[in-house]
Amino acid sequence: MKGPFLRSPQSTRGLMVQVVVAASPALFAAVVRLGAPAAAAILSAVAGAVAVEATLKHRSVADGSAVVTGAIVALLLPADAPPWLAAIAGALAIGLGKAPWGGLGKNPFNPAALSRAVLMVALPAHFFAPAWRWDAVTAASPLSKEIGATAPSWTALVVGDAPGCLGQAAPWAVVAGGLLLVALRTIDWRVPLAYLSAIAAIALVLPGGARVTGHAPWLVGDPMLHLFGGGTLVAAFFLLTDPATAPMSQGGRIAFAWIAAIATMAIRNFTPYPDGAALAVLLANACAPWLDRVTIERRTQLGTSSRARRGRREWRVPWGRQREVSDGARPSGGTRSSRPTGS
Amino acid sequence: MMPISAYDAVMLAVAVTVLGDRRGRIGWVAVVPLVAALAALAPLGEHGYLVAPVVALVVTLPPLRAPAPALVLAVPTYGSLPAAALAAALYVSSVWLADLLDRRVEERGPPPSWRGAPARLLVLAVLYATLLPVGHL
Repeated sequence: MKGPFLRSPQSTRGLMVQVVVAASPALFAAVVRLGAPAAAAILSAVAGAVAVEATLKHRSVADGSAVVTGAIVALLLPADAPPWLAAIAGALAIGLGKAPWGGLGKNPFNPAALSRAVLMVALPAHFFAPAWRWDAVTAASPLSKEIGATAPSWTALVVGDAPGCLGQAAPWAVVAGGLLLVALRTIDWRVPLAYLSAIAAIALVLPGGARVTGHAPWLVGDPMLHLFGGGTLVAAFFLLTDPATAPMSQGGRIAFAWIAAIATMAIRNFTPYPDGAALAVLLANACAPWLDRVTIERRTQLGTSSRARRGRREWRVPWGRQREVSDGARPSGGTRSSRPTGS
Repeated sequence: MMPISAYDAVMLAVAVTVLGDRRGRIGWVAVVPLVAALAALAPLGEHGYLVAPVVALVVTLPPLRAPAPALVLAVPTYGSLPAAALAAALYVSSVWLADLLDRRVEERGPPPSWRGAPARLLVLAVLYATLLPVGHL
């Protein structure tokens, strides 16, 4: 177990370089497929994030975290996002998602997901029906539940022909970048695996609400659409794996991914929102302190066996009274042998 | 004038609870939407005039330490009992999440100018945006 006195050999800047390299294939593919507008959106998002970071905390620009935030913000933007929207998104990610909480590593919410959520509330027209404007063809996202949306083929989903956010332009590139992060051990592989498997499982069993059955029946019972549609892959590999906003224990992180998956699918199947991935990530972020409390704080008090749980209830009495009952010393760390024999 | 939606009323009540430090008896406060819905849906006929006093009693008497959030929760019209139950659950879970996040933020040490009410307000704003889809359920 690492303590605060142990230093990781990996620097913050090194980690950020790895994430930027992992996000590069998806960003590059988006530019290749969508052309100059996508490039403008990506550059604007990164510039907005770096500009606000430089203004508020100029020393931390060098660690590269603002560039990472801007790049991930760009992946979540609608494919037809104008540069000004991208710049605002990048600026919001740092200005609201990072700086007010104390900077890098102190934010309870993922900055990119927060930026998207705020813009979805403030400018819903840009997010509710994201569409491609490529090859003179405009189409609604299959997740949008709007008239004009159609069910895409599995090939279109995997290749990136289904309309949606910039990260959807090349889902295979997002997966490749995510696998690179897993291989480098930058992220915990359990989180994307738990999230994606839960999404697939829920997609198979969850019925659709009235908004789905009447408008987009293809959303029910198709795991591929939910895995490759919307921001699912970006959330799995780039949002949920943010160490500052995820729980600290392995068990907590798996539960965290499940919460995000349940929320994503509930939003997609029962609300008019087209893609709930970013909102689901924020909800999971909000639950992270509770998951830490359940999985770490309680385990460090005493073990998890039923005897230990009984013991935990006993330790809740004030220490003075416990001493009287046990006629022993205060328990020293939670092993079963430390329980007083008389209790 | 547009009436306040159930979701906005719940989040306003959460803000009043958290910012006003009125966490006492949130269980009682959460009963208010259910009572308001029951009173509105009950076939009282000519005794319909009883609705307002009953709701007023529930709002003011049991949650003596938290009349403001209870009052806010009594304002909107809940379409059905499940909608009222959802509002109650949303209120309790949002206060709980806001408290957890408040503690997390304090532990990590935000900048001095953001400590306390500004950080709480920001947490509430994020929760409002995050839980917005619940308002469509």
